[in-house]
Amino acid sequence: MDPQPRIGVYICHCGVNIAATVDVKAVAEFAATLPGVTVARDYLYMCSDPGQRLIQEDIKAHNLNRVVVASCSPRMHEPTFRGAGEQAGLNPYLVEMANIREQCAWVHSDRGLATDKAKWLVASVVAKAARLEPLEAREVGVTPEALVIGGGVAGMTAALDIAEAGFPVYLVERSDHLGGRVADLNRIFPTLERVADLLGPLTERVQSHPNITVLLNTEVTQVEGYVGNFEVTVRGVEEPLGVGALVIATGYDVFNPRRKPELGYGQYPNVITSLEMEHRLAAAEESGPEVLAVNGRLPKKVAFIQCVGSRDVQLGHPYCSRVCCMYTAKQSRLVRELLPEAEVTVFYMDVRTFAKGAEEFYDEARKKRVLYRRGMVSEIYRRGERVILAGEDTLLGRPFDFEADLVVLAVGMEPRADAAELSSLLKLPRSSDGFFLEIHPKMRPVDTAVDGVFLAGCCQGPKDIPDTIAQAKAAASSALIPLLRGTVPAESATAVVDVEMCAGCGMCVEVCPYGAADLDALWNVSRINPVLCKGCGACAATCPSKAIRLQHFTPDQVLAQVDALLG
Amino acid sequence: MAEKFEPKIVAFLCNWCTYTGADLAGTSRIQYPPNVRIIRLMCSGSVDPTYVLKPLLDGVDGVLVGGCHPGDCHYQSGNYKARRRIIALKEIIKNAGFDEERVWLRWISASEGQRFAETVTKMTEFLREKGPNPMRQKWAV
Amino acid sequence: MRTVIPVENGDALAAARGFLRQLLEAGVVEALLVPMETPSGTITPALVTDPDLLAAANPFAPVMGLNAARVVGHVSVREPRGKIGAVLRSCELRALVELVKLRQASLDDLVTIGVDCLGTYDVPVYVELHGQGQVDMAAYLATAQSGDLSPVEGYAFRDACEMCEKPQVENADIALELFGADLGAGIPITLSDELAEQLGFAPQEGDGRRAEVVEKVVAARTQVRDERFGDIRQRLDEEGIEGVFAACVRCHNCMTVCPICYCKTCLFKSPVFDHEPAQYMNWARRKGATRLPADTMLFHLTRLNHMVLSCIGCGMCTSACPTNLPVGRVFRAIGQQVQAVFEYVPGRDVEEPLPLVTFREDEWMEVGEE
Ligand SMILES: Cc1cc2nc3c(=O)[nH]c(=O)nc-3n(C[C@H](O)[C@H](O)[C@H](O)COP(=O)(O)OP(=O)(O)OC[C@H]3O[C@@H](n4cnc5c(N)ncnc54)[C@H](O)[C@@H]3O)c2cc1C
Ligand code: SF4
Ligand code: SF4
Ligand code: FES
Repeated sequence: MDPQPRIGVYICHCGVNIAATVDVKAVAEFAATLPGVTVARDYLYMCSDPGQRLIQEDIKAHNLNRVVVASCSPRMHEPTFRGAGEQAGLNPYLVEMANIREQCAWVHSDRGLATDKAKWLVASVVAKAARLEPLEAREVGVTPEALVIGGGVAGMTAALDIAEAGFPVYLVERSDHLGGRVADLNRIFPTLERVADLLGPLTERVQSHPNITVLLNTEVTQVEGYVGNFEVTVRGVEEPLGVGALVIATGYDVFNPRRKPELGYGQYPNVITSLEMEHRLAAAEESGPEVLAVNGRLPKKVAFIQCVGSRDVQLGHPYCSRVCCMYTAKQSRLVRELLPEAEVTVFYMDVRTFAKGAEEFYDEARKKRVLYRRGMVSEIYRRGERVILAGEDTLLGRPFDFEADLVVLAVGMEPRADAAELSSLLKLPRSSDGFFLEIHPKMRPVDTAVDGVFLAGCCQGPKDIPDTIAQAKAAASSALIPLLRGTVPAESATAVVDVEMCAGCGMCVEVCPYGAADLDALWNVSRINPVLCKGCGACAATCPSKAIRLQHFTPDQVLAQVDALLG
Repeated sequence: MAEKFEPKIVAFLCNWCTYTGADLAGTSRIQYPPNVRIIRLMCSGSVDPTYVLKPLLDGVDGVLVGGCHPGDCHYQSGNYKARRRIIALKEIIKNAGFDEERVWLRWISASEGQRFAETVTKMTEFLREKGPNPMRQKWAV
Repeated sequence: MRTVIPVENGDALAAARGFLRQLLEAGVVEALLVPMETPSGTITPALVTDPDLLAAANPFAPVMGLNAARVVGHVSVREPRGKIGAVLRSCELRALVELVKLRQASLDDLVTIGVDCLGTYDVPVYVELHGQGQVDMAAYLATAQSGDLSPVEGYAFRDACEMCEKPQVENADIALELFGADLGAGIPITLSDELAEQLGFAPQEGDGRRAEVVEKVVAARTQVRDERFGDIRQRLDEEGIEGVFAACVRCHNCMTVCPICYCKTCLFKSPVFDHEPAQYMNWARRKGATRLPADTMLFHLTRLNHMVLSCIGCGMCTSACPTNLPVGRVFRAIGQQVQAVFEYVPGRDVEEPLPLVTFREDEWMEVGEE
């Protein structure tokens, strides 16, 4: 170990993200005074190529043996800077980050206080850096197979791509058929293709693919292990399935409009959901418009109500479901075609048509004389065979009563009722709306907090079929990375035992959740199996003499960090 | 006039939940007082009693330990062990003449940026009310 | 089986020695770990294989220089070894249970011979009494019958003994049950039927006053304990641990003699607490001064965290402290509270898991959620 730390400290402006709130120059000047620091600089974007080159040149010019980058969260760029250090010949574990963006600049507004805090955060990490030890990068083998949960379009697409790349895939579907919600639809916007034409060939390819094992009518009941080596227990399958990666594609539930009883759903036969409308439209195309009759009469006035269960803070659904505007354009158009005599009105808050071809499709609906009326319907009640929609015209600011024969509620999407169960099975975080949480909303939209587990389709949030398929393909290619590489990086920061100190009490053996700690029968000291150790540190915290230390988080490092925070 | 008292809080956050929740507070730009200084650990189950005791004796006004909600620990059970360890620790320091209310254990998930910010805000206010840790003045420890 | 070791000429010590000799000779054990009188008159545990040397054994010696559970670990924890008998007083038996959980001792092939404790002196006191010829074993043993346990006039038992509310043997393979007995006539014992048969004992009831006398002793001791706990809690409240332990010189004696502190090298003697001079300077600047050796209260508080759930109250720490700090009182008083939180009774049962290595998912559900 290098006896004298020579630390380079790099304070990032992150454009103005950090620099607007933190006086980065002052932090750099302060850092230069800290024990062990050889150079301290600030730079506009440390993660940029010139930023990384700056570090690399300093490592060579100043013979640096530690690097501290004060910038964004290490959860964002730790791999970047470790990589940069490594390229310049520094062990990657001698690079450490101070989080002065997410945990300082972005959450404070007082420049003086934020600068002060940034200084101490840097001091703390510098103190740790001075005590860092190089660690060996380790790799473990990967089981070259994958498992996809959910057999909707997302799951099928992901399974197919992985299978096409040459790896066996298990596709686990809870229901008795593939296709998910799309199987319940009629035609698809914006092309108006029939679902059967779209789903049929896809399902056929999945079912006949030699690399895909479709498991219907079953569920995943237990998941153990880690990226590269998961053990997945599936109900009804005897042995746990060993796989290297998982794709979650469990889709969504439709909002149950009974939660808005004022809309009369379930009370009046005139009020149906958009999903039911898909069935009726399919039947109507099959056997004629009579299927659309309500109370024995063909409807003369059809109303669509948008955003039922979406953009509704009170219901805990503040988000837009992203498909309702378009499927309403689709359904209203089809109604105009099937019932040319009927008047079709859409009550909306805003019309959102962001997908490719969507705006054109919506224009088409209006050309077909679908009437769009900006208004909120607050209540539906019965009048004879018809219903009355009472609401407010939000353009004119006037209340209205609107008579209709058939009302279609454009119900939104919500997380699967059992999303919490899957979430705890996989330790998969969910966002506040209840959908599964991607690790970064912009940069890493299919990755999750659990390495080797990827998201596809509506389980991550509402989306239409093209977006679902795009994400499924992204998830498949991410899942293929470990399978193709054949190895995954293993935790390097494992626990280690100092056998001279170890008294063999075995408390580490008791607390280790992975069976990684074991007592050596001959010497009666603990041994850690580095392949099994995940670096949680439970053993180290339990060991009173610290004969076990969790590397990279050793007591002297942590206590130095604490001490440095105090000045 | 003495300067207005501002508590210093040291927070040990688990990498997978609370640290990520604190990042989310950042990406969501949720403001909270700058009194907290975060140390990233892998799991709440790796928080050694010494990590809490040392800053308390040095005069830090509060120590926050943050981990995943029960059932959600990335390492299955680290937070359950942390829970017992912190309960024992608090009982010990309380009986040893310390103010155990200066030590907070909180479960905050990766999606609870708001809760993280609120926790820090509440803890800061609570400690402002309480006043400085008397250990700040005591050299003979 | 309950029976009685016969005593001749009122000499219970001789009878006990004879019983121990019998254990060796009958092959119940290959060696005995027992307090022995050294030629200079002090007492030390020794591992004895020669029956003749048992003439110096004193299982009742009213002195406690160390908690013998520690040395049971030395001779029991690693294989191979023969069958050993260990003579232990009640607090040593409790310590042994904890050490077994900590894998520092093993009950395999170990016969525990427990002795009711009538109170012990610190070593210097015992040496002085012995030098003055005042260690009268018969008089000391006589106090067992009434339970009016008392030291030689003008002297005191160890602090821990004065407030020991668990002096009676529990959980031993062979229990020498002194309380309530006329030891001049016989020593009541409890042992397994198998052992009794091997040693040729037939069942024999004592006079049945043990429970009553134990109750009396426990009540008296509990009262002392509660007073002392009350005092020390008040001091801790008022002065803090840094006040109560202000005179600590961090010699680590308390840790060294503690039967539960089993670490090979204490964390506080490890490089983690080996600071640079600049560090001390920094601390001195931070508060204007810094105590040396540093981290003294951190040492005590960390030790509390590491072992207080297992503190069985033998008070060796107090006996060993060169500055006469009430270490044992502090640890016991705090231990009582922490143990209550986890409903944990150290020394009760080897099957009872150490509280900090287990958990239940559905406990303390409110903690962390506020
Ligand atoms: C009324 C309506 C009309 C729509 N019309 C259109 C349209 O015209 N064009 C368009 O692009 N989009 C449309 N959509 C959106 C479309 O339905 C979704 O984009 C698509 O279904 C998303 O597919 P998915 O695979 O993510 O989820 P899903 O279709 O929900 O599939 C998920 C699958 O996972 C299975 N599953 C769930 N949980 C588990 C579990 N734990 N274990 C095993 N299996 C499980 C389910 O049984 C299901 O088969 C419409 C939506 C609605 C509500
Ligand atoms: S660090 Fe965690 S996984 Fe590794 S040996 Fe210790 S307890 Fe087990
Ligand atoms: S024996 Fe006494 S002086 Fe020595 S470390 Fe313990 S309390 Fe301090
Ligand atoms: S990883 Fe968050 S508490 Fe264990």
